Amino acid sequence: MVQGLANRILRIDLSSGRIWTEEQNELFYRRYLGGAGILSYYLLKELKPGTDALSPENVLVFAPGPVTGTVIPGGSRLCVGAKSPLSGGMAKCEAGGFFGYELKRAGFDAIVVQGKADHPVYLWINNGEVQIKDASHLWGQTVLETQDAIEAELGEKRLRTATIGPAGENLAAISCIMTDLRNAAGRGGLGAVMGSKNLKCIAVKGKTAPQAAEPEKMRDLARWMNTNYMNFSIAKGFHELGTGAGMVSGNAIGNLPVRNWSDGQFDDAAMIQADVLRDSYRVGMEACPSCQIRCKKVVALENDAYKVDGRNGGPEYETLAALGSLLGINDLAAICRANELCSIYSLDTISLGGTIAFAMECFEKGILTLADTGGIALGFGNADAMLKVVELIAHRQGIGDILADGSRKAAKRIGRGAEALAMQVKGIEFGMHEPRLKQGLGLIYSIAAQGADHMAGAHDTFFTQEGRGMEGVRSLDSLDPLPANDLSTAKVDRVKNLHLLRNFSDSLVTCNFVPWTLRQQVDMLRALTGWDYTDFEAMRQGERVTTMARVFNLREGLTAADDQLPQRFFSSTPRGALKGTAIDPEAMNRAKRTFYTLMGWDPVTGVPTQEKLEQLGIAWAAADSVHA
Amino acid sequence: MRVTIEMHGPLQRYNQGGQPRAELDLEDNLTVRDLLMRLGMDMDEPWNAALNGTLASPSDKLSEGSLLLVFPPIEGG
Repeated sequence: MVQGLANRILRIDLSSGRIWTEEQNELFYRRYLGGAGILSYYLLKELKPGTDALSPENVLVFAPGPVTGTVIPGGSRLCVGAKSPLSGGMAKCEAGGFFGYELKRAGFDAIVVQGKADHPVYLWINNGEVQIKDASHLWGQTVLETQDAIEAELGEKRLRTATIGPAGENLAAISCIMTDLRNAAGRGGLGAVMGSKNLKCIAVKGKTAPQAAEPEKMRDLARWMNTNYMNFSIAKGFHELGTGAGMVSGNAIGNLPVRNWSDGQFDDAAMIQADVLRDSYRVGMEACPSCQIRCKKVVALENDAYKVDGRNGGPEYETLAALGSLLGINDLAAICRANELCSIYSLDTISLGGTIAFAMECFEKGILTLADTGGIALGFGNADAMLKVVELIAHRQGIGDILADGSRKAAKRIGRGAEALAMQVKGIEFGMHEPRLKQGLGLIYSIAAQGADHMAGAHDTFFTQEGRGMEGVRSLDSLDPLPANDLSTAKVDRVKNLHLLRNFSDSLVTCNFVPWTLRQQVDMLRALTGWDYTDFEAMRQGERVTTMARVFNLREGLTAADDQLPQRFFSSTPRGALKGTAIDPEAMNRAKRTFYTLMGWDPVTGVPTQEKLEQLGIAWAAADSVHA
Repeated sequence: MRVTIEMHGPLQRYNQGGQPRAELDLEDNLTVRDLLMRLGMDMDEPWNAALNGTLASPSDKLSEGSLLLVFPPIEGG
């Protein structure tokens, strides 16, 4: 038994209807912690290489972390993952809200779902009791309708849920899983995996607080953050405006993606910024449990064209950019409506935006015509067209049937030069941060097992000058400010270590917006479990998770050739702050080789060495195919 | 020299009167760092700046007509 953990993992086989719990020993938890660690473990242990991501054999994991469900601010999240139908590799993402928090309090460190129900079902987890219930009557309903129906059926209020809408049911590879209506386990097509299992929803209620080994130390840490977070300007900014305050400034330095990354300047950036949202459609701010930063915007509006229900949340920065500047759209009400459609249909706003941006560029270049789009003039800047296409994608109708599988697969089907316009790595569309500006992030976009995920690493612009921004890297023995476009060995080492740190945090699981240091995260794990856990173990955990995900992808047939940015980023934008700036392909290739080398992976193939696997205690994970 | 400065987000409080935008008459040869220190900004806070439309470093020199935007680094969301 490990103090502070539930010490039980819930197993569900939807094919047989079998429900059981699994108890792992203390060594398991110390080696894999939770979140991304437990996800990686179960995917490698239980998924046969080459399994179809949408087959019953795929394994869908919902994994809170050790600190989930505790008093720790930012400790309410969970990691969700499976084999991705979008990339063919590992899908891994984190979601906020109360679902992870209550799952842990319901007595489980993770749920591992396998098989496929012979009809639509949902899971009802009530303080450790688990039932599989019929959801035939819920199939086809939106996320919001499903929530209301299940609460009425069970006679419960404020149920915490993980749910798919029609996009997940229709196996859209860019669909996501929504937690508590307005938070998303967004990337990699997990909604389709859930849909392929005929699993509509997991509803959970949990009231048993984890018992920490040293509860006063946990409370001290929580008190410290709740007292001090306003001293961190970024957390203060999140508290006041949420994300998306930096549209104009991002545009000024070239961070804001514009028109499928083909342009370098969005003249209407000020129209889609978070302060404009605050003064127009924002009706409140919400928090995850125990967190006073309260960064989550709630929007509601009703005008002649659109009506948006505040229960469906509000657009984050990624959405404001993905459905705004990336599409050349400046209509904030339309973006809020599109965000709502994504919430109720369960679509990943980032991949959706990236895919529609791809389609818009195809349309403008004549690769797609009105005949292809069903008469929709799908040019950049057309908000009505965007909203129509969201509907088509969610329901797999018309051009939406092609776009529902993401830009990479859509480009292959369309042909005629479309492939050059699909802005993705491993099939995963980019987060809304320019790799030509943040070139260390560009390296992480290339290499991260989950594809072009902006949360997989820290962003270069934090560490370009002296000041508190450097505190985040000094503890990693990275002492000098470095330019954002630098790809030296020192930069690669920094970027790699920050990626490992992120994967440790995703195992713990803590929120990136709460400014916890590495030491504080280690302290909370020590206080929770009573272990003599160290910073060294934390970084080793990050290395273990990173390498396990790498092995998983290699086993599924991905290679170093998949660690590749689209060609567009090796040339400059035609205007804006990055005019004249491009990524040097040779420098990026050198950086990749350096990254592999520093990770103990083969410098050319990126295959982890046997010694590295043995060092990390995961030699069991190496399938013969990896080292063939 | 005349310089325009915009401060964004929580950093706006350092601009004169807490205004988002100000036009300032300054002596020549000031750097970005010099100006921000003069405004009383806590230089320890994470910040980025764009000077005339490109990412600036603290040692970049201001000149007549410069437009300086100062803001917290942008990460995710």
